[in-house]
Amino acid sequence: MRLAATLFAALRDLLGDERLVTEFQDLITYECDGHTLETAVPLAVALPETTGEVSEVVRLCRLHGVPFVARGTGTGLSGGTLSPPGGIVIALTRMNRILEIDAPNRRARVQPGVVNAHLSVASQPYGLLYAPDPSSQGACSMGGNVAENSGGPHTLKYGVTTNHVLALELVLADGNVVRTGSGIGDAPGYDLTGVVVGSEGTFGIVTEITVKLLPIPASVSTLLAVYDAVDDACAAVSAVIAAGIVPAALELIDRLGIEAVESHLKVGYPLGADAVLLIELEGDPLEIEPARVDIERICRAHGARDVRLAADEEQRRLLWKGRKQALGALGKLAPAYYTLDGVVPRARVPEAIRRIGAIGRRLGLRIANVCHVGDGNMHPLILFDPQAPGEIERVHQAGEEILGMCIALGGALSGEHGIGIEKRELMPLLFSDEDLDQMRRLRRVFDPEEQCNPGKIFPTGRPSEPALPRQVRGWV
Amino acid sequence: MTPHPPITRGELAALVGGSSPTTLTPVGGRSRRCTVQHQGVTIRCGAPGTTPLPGEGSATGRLEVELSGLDRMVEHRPEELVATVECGISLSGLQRALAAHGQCWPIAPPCSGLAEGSPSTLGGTLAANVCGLERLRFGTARDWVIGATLLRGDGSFARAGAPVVKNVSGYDLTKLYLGAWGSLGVLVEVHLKLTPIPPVRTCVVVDRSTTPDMDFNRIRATAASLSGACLVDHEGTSRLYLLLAGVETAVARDLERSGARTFDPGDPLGSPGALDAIRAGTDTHLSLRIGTDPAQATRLRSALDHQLGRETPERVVSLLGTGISWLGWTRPVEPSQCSGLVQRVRSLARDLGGFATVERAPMEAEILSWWGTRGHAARLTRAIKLALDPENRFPPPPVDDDGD
Ligand SMILES: Cc1cc2nc3c(=O)[nH]c(=O)nc-3n(C[C@H](O)[C@H](O)[C@H](O)COP(=O)(O)OP(=O)(O)OC[C@H]3O[C@@H](n4cnc5c(N)ncnc54)[C@H](O)[C@@H]3O)c2cc1C
Repeated sequence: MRLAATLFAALRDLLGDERLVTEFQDLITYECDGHTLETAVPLAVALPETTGEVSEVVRLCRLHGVPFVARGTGTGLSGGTLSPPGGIVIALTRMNRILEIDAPNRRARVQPGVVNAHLSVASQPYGLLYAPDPSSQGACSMGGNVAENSGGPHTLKYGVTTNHVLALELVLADGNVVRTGSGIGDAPGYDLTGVVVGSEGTFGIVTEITVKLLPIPASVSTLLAVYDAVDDACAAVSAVIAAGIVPAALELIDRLGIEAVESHLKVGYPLGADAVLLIELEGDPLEIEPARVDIERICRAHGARDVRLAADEEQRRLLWKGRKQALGALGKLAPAYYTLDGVVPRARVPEAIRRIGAIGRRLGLRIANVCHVGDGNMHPLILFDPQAPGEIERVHQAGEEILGMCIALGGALSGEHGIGIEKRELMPLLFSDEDLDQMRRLRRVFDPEEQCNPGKIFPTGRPSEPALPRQVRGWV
Repeated sequence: MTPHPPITRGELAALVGGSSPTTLTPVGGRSRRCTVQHQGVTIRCGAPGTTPLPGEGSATGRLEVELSGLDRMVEHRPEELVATVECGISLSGLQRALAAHGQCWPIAPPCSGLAEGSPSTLGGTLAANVCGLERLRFGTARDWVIGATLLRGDGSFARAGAPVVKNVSGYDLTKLYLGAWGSLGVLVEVHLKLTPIPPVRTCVVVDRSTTPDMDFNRIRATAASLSGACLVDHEGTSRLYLLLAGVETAVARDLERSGARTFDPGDPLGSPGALDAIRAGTDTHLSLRIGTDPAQATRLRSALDHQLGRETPERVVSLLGTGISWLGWTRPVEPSQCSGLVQRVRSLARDLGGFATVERAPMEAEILSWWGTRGHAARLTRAIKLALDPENRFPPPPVDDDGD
């Protein structure tokens, strides 16, 4: 406790009372992120406003041997922001300025607390946008996106966060500030930017991000294809890709997802269908018009009972509203829900969905599927009641079985939410000792004493401890 | 040097992990071979002997091992747009195999001289992080390699990534190996992301481009099929080459809108292959790749003239819109002058928001920092090297702080 007292005094000197949270009732807000199955209340939360302050907070933590974790807006879904035991949270929400929109060079420089969607809004007057668009884009921070290498529906065409980050400023675990990459990309030497993206806050704290901006596409075409069998919808997806068409987005929502969206959002998805595909094409009208015709033909040839084209921007907005708010809508069907994030080769999606259904039935759990089907990124969503005896354990079991199944089908543990605390014990399913050793060596280069977000990504050999629910949670 | 017959993956691992301090040399870029040597390690990015990189000049007792045995297409899943290949495969072989399914790996597409008929291996291309003429549309190798197996100095293999297009399971170590010049291990196998070959692909030329940045911006704003734009200042002429790719109607429209024309027969640069050879600078004595803010191609040229005077390179090739240019000195450059010249170009590039890295230099030139990495980034680079190759079996990363 003495240790905490001296650290708190130094932090208070630096940040003042207003930017240091130490009261238990306030700290509870920071006990988890969007992954609510595990919780940990931090000793304190620091709210720095400059890179210098972040560096100083980190130095003080190091001096006192206190571990720390960076936090954006806490929408992460793998428990990445969970405080290490006896640790403090460094929340970046006050570093939320867009520093520069450099239209001639098509790039922007932002602080980590900038909300993803705000960047595209600010870029719009220049005819530009920031492409990675997680469904949480109205809330999640750019720093969190970098740490998780976030994706989104349109990453099928444009790639994930790493494909759009040019340069970073990073406060290392010893408080030193390093700049990686360049405003151009392709900087000589080791691609430090490339390994920091997706390192889940274990290499340091990102304090500035330079990203590429893309021109707003000249035209957009959005289709909704309706199926009576999920298998047919998936076969259509494979056929579209095999025909040499890579749409901007290719999303699937299953029956339960459709029901939830319609009962809460009323966007016009057809009730009673087994699955809908939301397909978007973007770009040159001369390119996308023939592609749209081909896609319609392919969808119908694979059993679509209806293929609708969004006639105007309002219809398009509604179709996307259904997809982007599907998790929230599903969350209303049960006291709590748990979103998974596995990847399978896209041709194996039908089999994956069948197996998920079987796991759900065996364990007595309702599981919906909302997935970025175009790149095989599954988001099975398990509905549950944390108060029901044994239910949390069954949810954990279902999660592990589903992710194990993804790997068995030739996929990966996570497509966009990261490993965090949630999936760390499953890492040996995917990686050998040598593979993990290589990762650990790299981690220790950036953070030799493992004070920066310890306990994440790497297996500990201990099962995770389910949280006792303090409140019923769910992201909307 | 003792030539060694082609070897298998297991033999390679045994050689590298063997008790003697053997060092492995993946010979990159345009050379076919991978070399195991006893001391010092090399990646050559040109015809053997023309591009000495750190370690090569001083190496003795070298044992050469052909990696051409590791050239299999392990798996191509057209429906997934991914392929798993061994890194000894030639780029031309790779592209031919993919083209049979209407797909390509777009960093060195089939229209590029880098691929067709060229002996370049995939591993060398990745180790040197070579990019193609269509960088404007497709970016660099880091966007199109989704996993890698690396042979480590102790003879073990470490994998990262997977053959699925979306994956954030563990650190993205693959990125670290691309452009590492073989200093961290040998790239043995990679998972590649692929793209469909566009129905039409063509290279055209805009004559007399006196305001290339403006011309380029105008063309980019209207020509959606533009996949690359290459401004070549060479032998006293300046020309803007455009690569167009897409459906026939779009390419035809953009050809008209851009005011470009197809090549005259007999134009020495009249093919993407010839253009790429110029870019690669295989005939230069000193070649630097520089990055500047993308909107600075015109300023780069005037800054070079202004600050280098008579030493200005005879050839400047810029991939417009990307910020990447190559400076080529085709006349001999005194080895003793190279280091100073590199420093001056580097400070000029930094003034224009970027960097400069050496791609080719005379054998005897002593260049302090080929990469030009500075400060904490240089320190991190050295620490990564030490952590991932503690016995120094692979060549050092060329990162001595360049002092400024
Ligand atoms: C409804 C909903 C929909 C979602 N949809 C998507 C989706 O479509 N695609 C997708 O990829 N994700 C999605 N997510 C997950 C989540 O939004 C992303 O992972 C997002 O990037 C997290 O950002 P954040 O600011 O909330 O980060 P946090 O949750 O605060 O932190 C996440 C991780 O990043 C680290 N971190 C945060 N800031 C920094 C920093 N500055 N420096 C270093 N490390 C840092 C933290 O330590 C932690 O490990 C969704 C989440 C919800 C709740």
